[in-house]
Amino acid sequence: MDAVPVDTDADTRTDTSSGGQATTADDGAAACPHLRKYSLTPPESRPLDEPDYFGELRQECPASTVTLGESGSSWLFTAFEDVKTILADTRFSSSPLTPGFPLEGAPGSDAPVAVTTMIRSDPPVHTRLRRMVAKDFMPKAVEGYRDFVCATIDARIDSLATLPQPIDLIESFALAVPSDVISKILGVPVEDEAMFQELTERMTTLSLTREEQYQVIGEFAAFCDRLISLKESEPADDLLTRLTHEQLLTGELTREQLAGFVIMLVSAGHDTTAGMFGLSVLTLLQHPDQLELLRSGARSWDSAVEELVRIHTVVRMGPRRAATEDIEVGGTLVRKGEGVIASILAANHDESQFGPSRFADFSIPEEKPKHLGFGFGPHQCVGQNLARLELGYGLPRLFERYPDLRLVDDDITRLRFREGRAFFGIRELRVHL
Amino acid sequence: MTTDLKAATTMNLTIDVAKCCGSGQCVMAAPDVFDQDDDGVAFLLDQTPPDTERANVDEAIASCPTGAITVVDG
Repeated sequence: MDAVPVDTDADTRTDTSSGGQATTADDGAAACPHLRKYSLTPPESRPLDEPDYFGELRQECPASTVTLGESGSSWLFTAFEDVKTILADTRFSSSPLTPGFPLEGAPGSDAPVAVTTMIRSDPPVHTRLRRMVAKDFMPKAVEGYRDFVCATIDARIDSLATLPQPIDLIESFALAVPSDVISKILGVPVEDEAMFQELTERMTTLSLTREEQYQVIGEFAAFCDRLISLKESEPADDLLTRLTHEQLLTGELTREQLAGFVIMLVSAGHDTTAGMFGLSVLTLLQHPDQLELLRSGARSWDSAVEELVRIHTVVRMGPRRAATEDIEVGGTLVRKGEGVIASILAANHDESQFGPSRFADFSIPEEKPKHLGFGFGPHQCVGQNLARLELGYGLPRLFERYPDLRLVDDDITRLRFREGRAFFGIRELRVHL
Repeated sequence: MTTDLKAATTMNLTIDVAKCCGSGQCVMAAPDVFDQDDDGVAFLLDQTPPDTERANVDEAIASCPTGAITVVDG
């Protein structure tokens, strides 16, 4: 079959750092009998579902141990409540520099530019960094973006009709809309969009070696540095200008830190939502009964968006943490210096919390599911309100504008996925309008 | 001893601003009770909201990613 997202076998590094060596709570007991290599490979015939062993672990061993790459191991938590507990507990560090942090399979997360970013920081540094941008993504700020976001989406949707059919909806819509939106908010010139898409693509490719990762992060930082220089000399009404003048020029951030900030906002700001657009369109086209419920008003688009974010959970690598002291989670003791993968993908498919999670069983609930698709705790996605606006406006508009939208090929096992990437998504989705 | 009926049926809320990460989930859940300042940090529009806000406040507390909101029943 065509490649599927995998993050195993990706680590070709030979350095000696390792993830925490997991132990069981009753100290000295045999290692977890479910020990296996951490993999995100879905079942071959069900390429949009979680790996089958996640379900087995939730039932039998929700605090399991997994091996990573060549030498590392880590806890793998798969139950909803445990994952939520870990993500809310700041004694679990987000810094790849904390002893035991599971680096294998997440190459580049310990790069000097990366470790200064807020997603890799702990309080109080994290709190300070987050507050520099939280205001730009809070609900009332996002409400202020509504007009241009909707206009951007409408323009992209209209432009689809001018393309020769069938069209690839990923390139022409799913990737284009979030790129347009985050570029505008940050103040990235339109002509640079293709460059940051390419840099993001390379940076989130898990098969790169550590050296290759460092290289691409360096290129990305250089690209951001040029943007920062532009904002110094030509201030505009955008987020990057504000960060440059309020944080860089006042000494609150170093130039490297600001570049890291921009890398994070640019990459997380478009690639995740792009993945969700493609997966959402596919899901609705494959479930016309559900689309009809939306068209008739029997189900809300708000619920559909949350359910789509839940079942697909495009951020699948973790999140990853390292325990800074001995911490008990759901009856299991995680010792100081041990690595933890708190799988939001597994948690979002927890049978004790949610209805059916398999792609084949997609069914929009009446109530919005309270999922962990945007994470939880202080690192919860800062852009979630913006993502909801883009998906909540873009999806219904697309289906209204093109009511006969249909897939060229209905067989999901022939879909091409963005293989070996940090964020799950479809590489190409060919449709007739 | 008499108890003020209104006070007995309202909640007394506090926000731990040090914990707040500015996600704005409380504002989405209960916009008449919570707001965010210029740094995105949450603050209370109504520290003792009426019980008609109970469901919204419960939703705000449940969705707050950092557990920054606490309620003391009055």
